[in-house]
Amino acid sequence: MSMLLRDRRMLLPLLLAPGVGYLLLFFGGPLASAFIGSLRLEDGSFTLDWYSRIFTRPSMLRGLGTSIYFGVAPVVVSLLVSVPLSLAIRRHFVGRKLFSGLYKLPLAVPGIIVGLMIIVLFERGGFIDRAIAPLGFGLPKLVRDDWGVGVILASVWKQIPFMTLIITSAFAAIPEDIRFAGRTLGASRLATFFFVEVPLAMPGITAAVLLTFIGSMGSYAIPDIVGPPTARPLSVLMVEEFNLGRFPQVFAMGMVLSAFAVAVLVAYYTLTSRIGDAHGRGDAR
Amino acid sequence: MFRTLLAATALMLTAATVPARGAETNMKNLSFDLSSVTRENFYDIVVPAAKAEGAVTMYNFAGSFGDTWKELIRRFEETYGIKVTYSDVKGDQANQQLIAVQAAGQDSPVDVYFAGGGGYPLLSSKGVVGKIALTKILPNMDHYDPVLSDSVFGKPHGGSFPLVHLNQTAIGYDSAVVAASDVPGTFEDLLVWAEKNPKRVGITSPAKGGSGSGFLYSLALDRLTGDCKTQLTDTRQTAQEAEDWAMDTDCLDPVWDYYRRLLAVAELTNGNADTLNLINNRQLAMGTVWEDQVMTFLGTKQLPETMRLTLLEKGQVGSGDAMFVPANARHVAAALLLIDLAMSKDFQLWKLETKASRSPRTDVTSAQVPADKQAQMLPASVYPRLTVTPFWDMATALSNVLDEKVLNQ
Repeated sequence: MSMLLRDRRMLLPLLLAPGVGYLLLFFGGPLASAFIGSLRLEDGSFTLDWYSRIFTRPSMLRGLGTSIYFGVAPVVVSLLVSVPLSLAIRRHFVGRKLFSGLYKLPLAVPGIIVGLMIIVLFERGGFIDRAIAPLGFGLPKLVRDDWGVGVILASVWKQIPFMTLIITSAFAAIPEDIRFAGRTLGASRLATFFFVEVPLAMPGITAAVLLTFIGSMGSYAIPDIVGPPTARPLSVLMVEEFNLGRFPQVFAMGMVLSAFAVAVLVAYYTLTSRIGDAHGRGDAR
Repeated sequence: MFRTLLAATALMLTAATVPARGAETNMKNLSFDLSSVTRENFYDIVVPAAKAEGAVTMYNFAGSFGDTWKELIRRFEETYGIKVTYSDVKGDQANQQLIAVQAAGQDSPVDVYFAGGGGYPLLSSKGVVGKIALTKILPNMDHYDPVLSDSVFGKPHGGSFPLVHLNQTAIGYDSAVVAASDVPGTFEDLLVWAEKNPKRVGITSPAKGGSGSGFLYSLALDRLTGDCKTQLTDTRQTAQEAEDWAMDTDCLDPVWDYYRRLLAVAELTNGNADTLNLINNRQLAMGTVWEDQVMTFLGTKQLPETMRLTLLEKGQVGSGDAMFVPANARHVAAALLLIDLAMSKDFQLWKLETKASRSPRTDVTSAQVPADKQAQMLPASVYPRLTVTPFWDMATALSNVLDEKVLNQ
């Protein structure tokens, strides 16, 4: 054993084994198995039919588009709320401690509960609709609507705390001196924020965007409960195929979604490494 | 204790003298001679064997049936003193679990499975269904509907997959909103009403609720004639053959045309409960529903008391769910006793009265339940006259093709 440890050629794989071995076993293995499964017919022969169905069937093509839409739209809205919220949390105000605890509550609420909550609150004839009816107002269609507003609302409610946590940490990591330096050199408060703080916090912001995007793109419960019954994302269609026992189709859909997520990941690394080069931080490397 | 020991000893002696019939019945854990069991000697043979087994496990795929089976289990444990281990499961996942277990040659993790009636083709093709002619040997199946005793939705099962609960798709409407004279009698009437009252009719998405796929299949039965109808109802087709036909044929064009017109003025909903919720919220006045689910929702005040049901002429799909003993179950005798009790007249009547769960027993009808409960069920003028048998694989195929040709165009 000690001989092995002294041999530098063996030492490196041994040291890497716990991490890389775990990844290979629990991520690489199932992924490879799913990929092989997606290329087989029931009799075991090779086929590309399952992929062909994804890119030729209107419901699946629309499902792919809907998955991307339900991945991107909530992230954009969450980002618009989380960045100002992160800046607000950085400041001192009365009740800040209580607020800092309360805003994280949605993190602990499962997606299916959020979906049901949206139905109870925002469905036509639901709680809010009934509450404002005596005033002569009525809610527009927010559940099962073609634009998936209910899905976006539910996803945003769940994502904001997670995104805010990461972005708050990213802003907190910027030394105060840098901001003051910008101000003493004549930059306005707004210019300091956009041209000094945001670029420096960008690795944290992009990480938050990436993680929430992947989470919401693959989410099942919320789009299944409050999404439109026509445009259903691939995650929902996958469960339907699973229920029909068409596993190769499920594998193929999973591979397409994974490929898209990996493409986004690659774009993320490319982007953050450029930011790193430009600002000498490069913590994404 | 003494009686249990005596029963166990008697059982051991019996098991030692009779040949195991596991190979014939795909039940390798039999501790009694199943082939000698008849309706007449059922309790003499099965009760001691069941008591010696001492336990039985049950899966329930239908979330709304938890209370019903709780009552059955209470009665069973009280009558026989045999412990029931009960689990609510997701039907599709449990099916896949049993298929995997069967493929691996292992014992079934469950002895009694209350499963969706439409699952028979899949489960039987994978060898999951235990080959026991339940409808022929259970004493409480002596009044079983002869139409259902050997086949389920057109697929022969030889008595091994008996429906213990029948349910009916229907049109539900709020009688406070829809006048008696406006209640639709045909599919055409329904469309006309929907066009006069935009977004007041709810159609359950066929992909997300049986009341929707049942409505779609009923519509196809209404619209198709001749060879097209023969093909539509040919239960010898596999699921893939049904989908291939539904995707390529022109026969279904009238169905898709109807849906295009209907969905332009109706609300497509995300499931059976979603439709009922919108009726309760007074956003819809009418929708596609299940009769038993309506009674459940009425019981929990989740629907207006003015909710009523009807069936469209030419018929709407009636379905049902089965209780069976999976292949290689561990406690076969206790499983038989539990299914037998579920089919007793007393329990079937109680189930009808509390859940509008129709019975496959010919001697249990809605006329035997109180008048206030009858008002929550389909009227005798339409049920059972207008109930039709589904071919669920075809209904699923139609649902998939509706997705491609109408909903995503």
